[in-house]
Amino acid sequence: MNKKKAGAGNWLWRIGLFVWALTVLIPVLWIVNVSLKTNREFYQSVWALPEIPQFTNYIESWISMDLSQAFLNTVIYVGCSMVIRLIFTMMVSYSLTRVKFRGRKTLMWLIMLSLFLPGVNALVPTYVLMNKLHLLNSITGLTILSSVGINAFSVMVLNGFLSSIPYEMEESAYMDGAGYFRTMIQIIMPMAKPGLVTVFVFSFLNLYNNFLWPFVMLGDPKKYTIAVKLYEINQLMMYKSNWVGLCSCIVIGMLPSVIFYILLQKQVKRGVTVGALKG
Amino acid sequence: MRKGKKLEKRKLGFLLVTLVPAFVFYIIFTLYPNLMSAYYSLLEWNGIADPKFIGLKNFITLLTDDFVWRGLLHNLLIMIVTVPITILLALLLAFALTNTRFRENKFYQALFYMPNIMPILVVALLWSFIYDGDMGLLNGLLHLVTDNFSGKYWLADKSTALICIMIPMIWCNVGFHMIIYINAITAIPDSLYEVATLEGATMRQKMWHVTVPLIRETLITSATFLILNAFGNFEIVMLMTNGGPGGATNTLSLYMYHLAFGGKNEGITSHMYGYSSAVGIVLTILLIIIRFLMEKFSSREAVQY
Repeated sequence: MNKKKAGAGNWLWRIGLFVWALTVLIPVLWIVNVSLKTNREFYQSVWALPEIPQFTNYIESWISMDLSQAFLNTVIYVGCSMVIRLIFTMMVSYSLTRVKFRGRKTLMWLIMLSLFLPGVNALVPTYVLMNKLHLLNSITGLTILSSVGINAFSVMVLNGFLSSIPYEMEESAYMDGAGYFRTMIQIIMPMAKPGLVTVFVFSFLNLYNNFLWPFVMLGDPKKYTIAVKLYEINQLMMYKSNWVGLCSCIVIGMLPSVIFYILLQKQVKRGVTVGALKG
Repeated sequence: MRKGKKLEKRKLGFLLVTLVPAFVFYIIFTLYPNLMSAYYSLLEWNGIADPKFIGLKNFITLLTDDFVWRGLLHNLLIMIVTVPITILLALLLAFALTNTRFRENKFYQALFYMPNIMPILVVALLWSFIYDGDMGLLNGLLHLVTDNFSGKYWLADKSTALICIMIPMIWCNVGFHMIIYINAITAIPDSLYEVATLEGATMRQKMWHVTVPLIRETLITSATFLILNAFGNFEIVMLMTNGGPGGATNTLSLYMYHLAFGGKNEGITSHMYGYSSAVGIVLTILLIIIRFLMEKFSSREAVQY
């Protein structure tokens, strides 16, 4: 850190920071504020605080929009995907960083290739493929698409952590007669825990916030994840002019991400750092 | 000797188990679709009837398709506006947070990143609300100063819609790039700043003459990210305006999406997988060229301290 003395003229920087803080905060607080109003209060003023905060808005929206189902779907999709992705990431990253064999570089290059590809062009072929595999319109299909195989970003992040562990660790483990799997799971992975947590956090945010694939793949409203559900609610509430209800759903939708972020900020920041090094 | 052979065998087994399934799935779900899009671009196919091979015809159609050119134009505008502004804002914030020691800095760092972790749909809905004509935050703010804009629906107006969708893009990207810059700035040796301070440099001079040249690589990497994003990412546009009003915010990738999956876009009647893939391939080539140019640009001269 460059710790410089706060000289004169610094107040300008301070004001600048404050202004951006407002830019970030005000829209969010405003939506929260609207979500606590009655629809009548909503039409009276853009600014005013609700006379009595209507926390019941949340309960009403939750029940009338059947958010329980959407959340359950999301929990299954995000939870399973996170676990599967983590297992794949761990195996691939471990083998590529800590086991010496020919062709390692080529495989790594193959993984990096997917970072180079923009991905938008794969939308149609992936859709056709999922259709052929009869995996459209199913949470299972969505989970498979988001988790099996290799997530280049996750592998890169974990590689960074794994390659910083001294290699003597394995040598002594092999001496003691431990197999590869045991060495990986019982000796190296506990040491790479911060890396695993970082992958975990990023996977959560990435999967929970994913809109496009659930939207494209899921046709049956009963199978909607929370992101697609919010989209449906948006269409519905516009007809009904139930803005307050819509806002309370928006707040409910962003809460998991925000809470997760507040709890695990450090890991998020670390992920950005490690990921950005390679880009 | 025998022991060594056994070890080799074990190693092979381990590699097979850990790598083969992962790479097989990776090829099926990631590489294969990318490859197939090139093949699809040579087809005339609506997804139901048998595909017909038509060679480069899609690409010839594409050249005279107004939607393609307009989409490209909008992408370029989005790039020209959002990329420099995002970088400048992120840089100013990163510089301010690393070179001052206000009590609130730590809180700010966490806060500024927050828009980046919000679901894209939430960001889109949030900003759609802000732009609302009757009860939107923007008109509420403007109302304090002037009455000229009351009742104006910002996203429904052809002349303002495009700029309106750029603002949330900037809003949710600044924090991410700020964190990257903060890390880069932190890695600069303190002594360089001390020299600058001794020579009586002001904060602004320090920023332009010390910080910026030293984190040049990082800046270029982040610019590449942002440019790719400006072309490839269409979710915000889709959710806020879906290309409207009257195509005023239609982008190339959104057009590609509409061609494949339908939508309210003018002139699209059914699924056009072949043509959509052709648009996707053009986009891909464009992005690869940009990436290539940026890489060349960044490696021209490496800065050392």
